[in-house]
Amino acid sequence: VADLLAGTILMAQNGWSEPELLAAARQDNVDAFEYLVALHERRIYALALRISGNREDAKDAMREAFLRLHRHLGQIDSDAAIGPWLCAVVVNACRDIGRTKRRARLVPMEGGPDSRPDPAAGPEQMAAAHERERHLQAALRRLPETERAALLLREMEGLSTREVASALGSSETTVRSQISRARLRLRNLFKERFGGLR
Amino acid sequence: MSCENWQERIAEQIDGEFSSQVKTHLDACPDCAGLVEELDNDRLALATAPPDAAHADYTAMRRQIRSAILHERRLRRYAPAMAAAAAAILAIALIHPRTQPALRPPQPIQHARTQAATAAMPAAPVHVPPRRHIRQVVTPPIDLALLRKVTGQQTVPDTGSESPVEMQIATGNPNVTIILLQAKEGSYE
Repeated sequence: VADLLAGTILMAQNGWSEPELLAAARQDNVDAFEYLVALHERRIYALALRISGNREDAKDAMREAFLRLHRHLGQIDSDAAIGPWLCAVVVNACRDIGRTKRRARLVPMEGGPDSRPDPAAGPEQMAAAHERERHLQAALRRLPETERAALLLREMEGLSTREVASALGSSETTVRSQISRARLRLRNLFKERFGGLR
Repeated sequence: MSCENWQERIAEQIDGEFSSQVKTHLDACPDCAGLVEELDNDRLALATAPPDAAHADYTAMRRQIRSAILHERRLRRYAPAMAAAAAAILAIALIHPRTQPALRPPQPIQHARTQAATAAMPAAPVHVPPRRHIRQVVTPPIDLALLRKVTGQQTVPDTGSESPVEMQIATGNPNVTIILLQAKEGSYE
């Protein structure tokens, strides 16, 4: 762990760019790859958490996404940002994990994620954030899988319509329609289930 | 156009620039203008990372990823040696059965006489009945005078124009054939 931190800090201090890190990772530099992970882990974990709805699945999906990244280092375009690629992989990983769980009858309970309160925030803020997230997750769970993924890729990751379409293996027209439909459905779900809460 | 149709357009354009038509409708419709505000709030909520993401143990997750990568790298390093070992085991498995007595082609059944001669063998001798088939061959007339001279028998009658009968009995041994000669049919000479 000490070596890992030392390597990560060294690369951060040297100001390595993502393509440089990618090139070094291709040369079996595990520290460089580790730094790539550190650059993207929070976004990827947050996305996985929203898509899957629970921490364990999100961790598994994130681990799988980065392992796939490592296996396909040689196939990724050096000039392209790896963020959209990782987003696509984590969406698929969440989907695979969800299917496995459905087969095993371990569907996560509807009603939100198992999020922990933020110890740094005040009690009221913690409660409000927790409540908001619970409602949001409950509504997201009721969206069709593809619509949910399209909406989250757009709103959380800021991917363009083309990038979302590429990530989901769909057309831009379909994705545009899925995103706008998901926005209205989410809004109606809030109105129906939570009334004036939001 | 109904508000429902306008809302579809609003939801589609909420993250960009509203068209002039939508803007005109929003100016005239407070419900749809309210929807814009609600959709903006939803987008903000979605863009905000879930509270749990801020407090996850990323160091532990990174450690797991690193460990998995090193494990895969070890597998890749030893993969050629493992493949060679697997190929060697497969080759041995394919060659070895040929040296096993149990898989030899079955020995031909020996003749009963040969088996009887091998008295030391504990197994009971296999009785193979000798194959016999009798064929009757009518030979052309033979010179009886020459036959008497060759055999030294004087009792061979002169049957005139009657042809002698020759009987050949084939045995299981192709080298042994029993030949019976009769001066004429019905005679025992």
